[in-house]
Amino acid sequence: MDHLPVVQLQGVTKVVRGRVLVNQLSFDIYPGEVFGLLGPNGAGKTTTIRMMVGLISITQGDIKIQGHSITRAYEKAIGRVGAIVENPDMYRYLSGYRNLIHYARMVPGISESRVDEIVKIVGLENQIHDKVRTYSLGMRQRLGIAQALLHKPAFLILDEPTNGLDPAGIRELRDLLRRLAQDEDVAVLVSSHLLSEIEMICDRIAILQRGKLVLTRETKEVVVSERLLQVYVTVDEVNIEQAVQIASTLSKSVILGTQPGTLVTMLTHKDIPRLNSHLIASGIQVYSIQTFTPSLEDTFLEITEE
Amino acid sequence: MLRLIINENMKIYRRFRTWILLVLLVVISVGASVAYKIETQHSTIGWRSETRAAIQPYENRLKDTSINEMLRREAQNKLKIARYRLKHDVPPVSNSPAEVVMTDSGLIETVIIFTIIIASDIVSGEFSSGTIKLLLIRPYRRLKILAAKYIASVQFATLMLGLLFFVEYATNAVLDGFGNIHATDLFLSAQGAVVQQNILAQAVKLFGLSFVPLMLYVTIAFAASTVLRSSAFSIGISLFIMLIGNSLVNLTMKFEWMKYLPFANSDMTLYLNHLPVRSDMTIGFSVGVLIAYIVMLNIVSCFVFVKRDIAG
Repeated sequence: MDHLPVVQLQGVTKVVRGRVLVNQLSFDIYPGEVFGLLGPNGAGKTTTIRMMVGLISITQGDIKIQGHSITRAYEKAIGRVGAIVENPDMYRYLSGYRNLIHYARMVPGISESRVDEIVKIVGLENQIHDKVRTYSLGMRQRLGIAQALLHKPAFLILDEPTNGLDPAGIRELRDLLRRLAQDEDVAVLVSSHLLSEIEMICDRIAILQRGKLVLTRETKEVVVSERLLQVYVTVDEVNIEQAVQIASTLSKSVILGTQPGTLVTMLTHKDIPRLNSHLIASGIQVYSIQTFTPSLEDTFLEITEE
Repeated sequence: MLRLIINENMKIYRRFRTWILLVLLVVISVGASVAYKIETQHSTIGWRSETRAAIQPYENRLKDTSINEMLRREAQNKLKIARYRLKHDVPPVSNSPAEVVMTDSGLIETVIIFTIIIASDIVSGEFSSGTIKLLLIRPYRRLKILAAKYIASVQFATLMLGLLFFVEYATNAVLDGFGNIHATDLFLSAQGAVVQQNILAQAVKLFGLSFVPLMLYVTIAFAASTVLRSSAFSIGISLFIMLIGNSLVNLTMKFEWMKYLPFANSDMTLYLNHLPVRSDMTIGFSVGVLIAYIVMLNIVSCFVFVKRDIAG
């Protein structure tokens, strides 16, 4: 993250008729990064995206794209942004190709060969001359991605991009976004209410709840973190008291498990083998040590559940 | 900017709906011309007897004191021309496509209605299909995108009006021959004097002037489309204004302030037939009033479109 952020949100707030939809939101997105915006429906994801592309005004704060304020220098700021906002709504009475030509005309310097190239990238060669009316949601999603990529954006926004895609399509999308981020240094923002779908796509995730940022985190961090892990230990029933004492030297929270001869404790990653060797050194027979890694899914549910 | 206008035109003409309207207008124009041809049988009694015969009903109308002002003035005008015709021995023109175009100028209302349909949808359609989001996130100010849409609507209106003129003229030329494009006929000047004028020039003048009220309705439909974001609603409102406007012409004769409303200023044929709604109204006045409304409505459209939050 040695480069400058492509996108900066600075204390962004949106109030509509007294209701705070987005509250003091601040985060940066860097080139080459796939950033996930997560949250239950109504958390303010789409509102945030709408502000980022200037569709709605910002009540307070500012959004900068490549240093240009979206409110004060709109044309400059939006020039290198490609986006799908909410649904990939296209002109249904036009062919997919005409839809792309329509958007290509709105940015200078997009050749027809670029349009053909992008059609291949999203895999719509066979249906591109059909009317959009006949497309499935998955195909419209691909066409939406195509129009967002036409002008080689530096910042790509995809709102719920996995909607309507089958598992193979999601995989393709993941590979495409990876490639864009790594090879072309594009900053990508992906929103979703389904964590499982974007957990694998994203490098970093922000969780929104009721318009507030509750958590930003690197997705890989979860696996190698220094956080406390929940550890279930099973020993021979007779020595359980002694095992609890030993565990207490390493952790502040140790409780007996529901099954006889089990205990539950919180340990850091590196303390798990230490606990094991202490137990064995005291002549306690260890049947199992299981760690329970709270996945992002659990964190997400925990945070977003009331 | 040119690219935006090309885009808007693509979205108008790549729709089946638009072609229905265009074909319908051609069919109506041809039909009206054929109907006119069937209706006007050339009599054998000669134009002098015919003109004399036409005078009688107008004189009777004038004797009736209960008739409305507009009908009375129309009768006076017709008598004036008929008497002049007989006195100075000016025969009416027998075959002039331009004359039929003028007689059927009521068809301009068809153009207005069809244009209202297109202009009512051009902004609201983007909202109802959701495409407004992808349209606006391009490196153009909203004002330019709206302007491109307005220009495309005006182009469509112009095309329709031109098509009506051309098709009617051509149909009559086929049915009756081109006649003489230099043919003249008797008209009344703004001061009420009988003058000989080129018929084709008068027809072109009528269509040219009618462009202004056509623009007014384009602008009303466009503004309604922008503000209400519902094409059905804006078609309804625009047509309602058009219909109510025609019936307000008589009231305008009574109330002076009503001459500042767009309604009594929307029928340019009245001026060409020397039937101004009020004696203090002139072509220049009407055109000025209409342009003032067009400008005001466009300011409203721009303001609403630029300021609006595109949500939901």
